[in-house]
Amino acid sequence: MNRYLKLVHLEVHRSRYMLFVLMALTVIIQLIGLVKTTRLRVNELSEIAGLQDSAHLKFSFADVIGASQFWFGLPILISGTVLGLYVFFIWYRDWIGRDKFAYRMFILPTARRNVYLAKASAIFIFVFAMVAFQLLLLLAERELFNQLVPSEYKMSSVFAEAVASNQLFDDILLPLDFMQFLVYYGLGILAVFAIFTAVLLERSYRWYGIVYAILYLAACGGAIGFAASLSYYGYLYPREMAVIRIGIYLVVMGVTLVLGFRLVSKKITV
Amino acid sequence: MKRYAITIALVLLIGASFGTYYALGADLHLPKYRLQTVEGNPAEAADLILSGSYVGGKGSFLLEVSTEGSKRTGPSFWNQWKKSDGPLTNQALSSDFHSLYQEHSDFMRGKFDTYGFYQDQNTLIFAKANYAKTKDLQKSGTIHWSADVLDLATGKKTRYADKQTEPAISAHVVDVQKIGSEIHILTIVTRSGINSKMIDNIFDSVSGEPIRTVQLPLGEPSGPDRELRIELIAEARYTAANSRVLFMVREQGKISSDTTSVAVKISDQTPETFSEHLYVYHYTSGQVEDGPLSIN
Repeated sequence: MNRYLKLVHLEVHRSRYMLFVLMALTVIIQLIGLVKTTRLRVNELSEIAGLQDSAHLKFSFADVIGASQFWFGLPILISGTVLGLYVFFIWYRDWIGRDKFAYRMFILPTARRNVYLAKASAIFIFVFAMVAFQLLLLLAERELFNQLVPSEYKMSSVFAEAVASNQLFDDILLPLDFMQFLVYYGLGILAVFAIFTAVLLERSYRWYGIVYAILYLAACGGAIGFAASLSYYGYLYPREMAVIRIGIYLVVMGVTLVLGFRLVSKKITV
Repeated sequence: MKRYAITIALVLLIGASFGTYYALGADLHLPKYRLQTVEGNPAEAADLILSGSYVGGKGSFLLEVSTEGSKRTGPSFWNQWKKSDGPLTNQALSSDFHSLYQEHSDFMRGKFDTYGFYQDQNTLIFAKANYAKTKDLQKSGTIHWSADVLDLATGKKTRYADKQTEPAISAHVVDVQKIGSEIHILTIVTRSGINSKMIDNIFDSVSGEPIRTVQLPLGEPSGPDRELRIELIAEARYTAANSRVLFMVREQGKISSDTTSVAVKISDQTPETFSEHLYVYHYTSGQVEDGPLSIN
C-alpha cells in the first residue's frame, strides 16, 4: 500500500506543472469571460435604466454563467482534451522519453500492478482536482460578480442555479444529482482503465497489439452501449435494468483490470 | 510528509470540494409548500399528492406537494430504482398499475399500453393492436390483434389472436371489456384521407376464437374539407369493468397536408371544430346512442 501511494505521488509530481497550467488557463479565460459579460450587462442596464423603471432590471450570477457558455466551456474543453491525451501519454512517455523510464519503473521492488493502479489514480486525481478547482473558482467568481455589479442591478441566486446554468457543468461535470455524478464518473473511470489495458495490449504485442486493442475497446464499448440502450419501455423492469447495467459494468471492469494486471505483470516488454 | 504535500493537498481539495458541494451546494433551495386543511376532515387529504412543475430561477423542476411538505421528484437514476414498479407507474391514475405490478409482475412484463388493460375479480386482460404495412404501399396492410388473458384463480395464461386486412395508417386499442363470456377489444383505426373508424373485435373467452367484429356507426362529415376525429372519454380507472363506453366524435376541418410549403399557417395546424357529439356504445347490444351532451 505504501509503495502504491509513493508511486501515485511520483506520477502526480511528474505532471504537476501540466495541472497548474490547466488551472491557470481556466482562471484566466473564465475571469475574462465573467468580467466581459458582467460589464456588458451592467452597461446595457445603465442605458435602459434612464428610459424606464429600473426596479425589474436585475440579473444574477447564474444569468452571467448562463450567458458565458463559451468562456466557461473553452477551458473545460481544453483541459478535457489535454487530460484525455494524457491517458495515453502517461504510458508512452516512459518508453519514448529520454532514458526509457519504463526500465526503472518495472524493476521497482513492488508488484507491477501498483504501477498500473498508480498511473490510473494519478489521472483520477488530475480530473477530480480540476473539477474541484472549478467549484472553488465558481465561489471566487461569485465574489467578483458581487464586486462588479452595483446593488441596484444585482439579483440573488443560489450556487446550484449557477452550476445548472452552464450546460457542461449540468450535463457532465457537476450534475446536481449525486447518483448521476457516480454513474458518469464511474463510466469515466472504466474508460480510463479500458484505455490503459488497450495501451498495454499494444505495448505487449506491438502491431498485432493495435488490432487486439481496437477489438478490445470495441467489445467494451459494445457492452456498455448495450447496457445504456436498455429501454424503460421494453421487456425489463427498471430494477432489473439497473441490476443488469451494474452487472455489465462490473464484468467489464473486472475483465479490464484482470487483463491489465496480467499484461503489466507477465507480458509487457521494454 | 512534506515531500508529498502536492498530492495530499490535491486529495484534500477534492474531498472538501465534492463533500461540501453534494452536502450543501447542489441543493436548489426550491420554495417549500405544504397542503393545509382550510375546512373539513384533514384525514381525507392525508394521502393527497399534487404533482407539478415549479418554474423559477434558471429552469423548471418537478415537485410533489402533500400534507407532509414538498419534495423534488424526477426521473433520476435513484428514483427509478427506488420507486418505479414499471413504466405505467408514472401515469396520473396509476393506483391500478401499482398493484398490478406488485401482484402480477410476470403478466405485466413488457405491457405498457394504458388503455389495453381490463380487470375484474376473476380475470386480468391485456389487449393490443398493431398495424403491419405491406411493402407495396398501394395494398392494404393488416391489423393484428392479440389478447393475453390471465385467470386469477388458477394463474393460467391464454393468448387470443385475430387479424384483418384494412387500408389504414395505424390501429390502437382504446378499451377492453369482458361481458359475460365475450371479450371486447375496442380499436380506433386511423386511415389516410378518410375518416378514422372504430371497431369492436369480439372474442369468445372460452374457446379463444374471434366471434365477430362490429364497426360503430359514426356518421359522415358534412363536407369534403371536413373529417371526423374520435376521442375516448376514459374511465377514472383504466382497468375498470364497464358495460358501456363513452366517446366523442368531433367534426373538424382537415389539416393541410401540404408539407412542401414553408409558409404553413398556424390556422392550418389547428383545425376549426364544427361540431362535437358525445356517444355511448353498449357492448352487450352493440348499439350506439347519443350521449348527454352534444355541441353543434
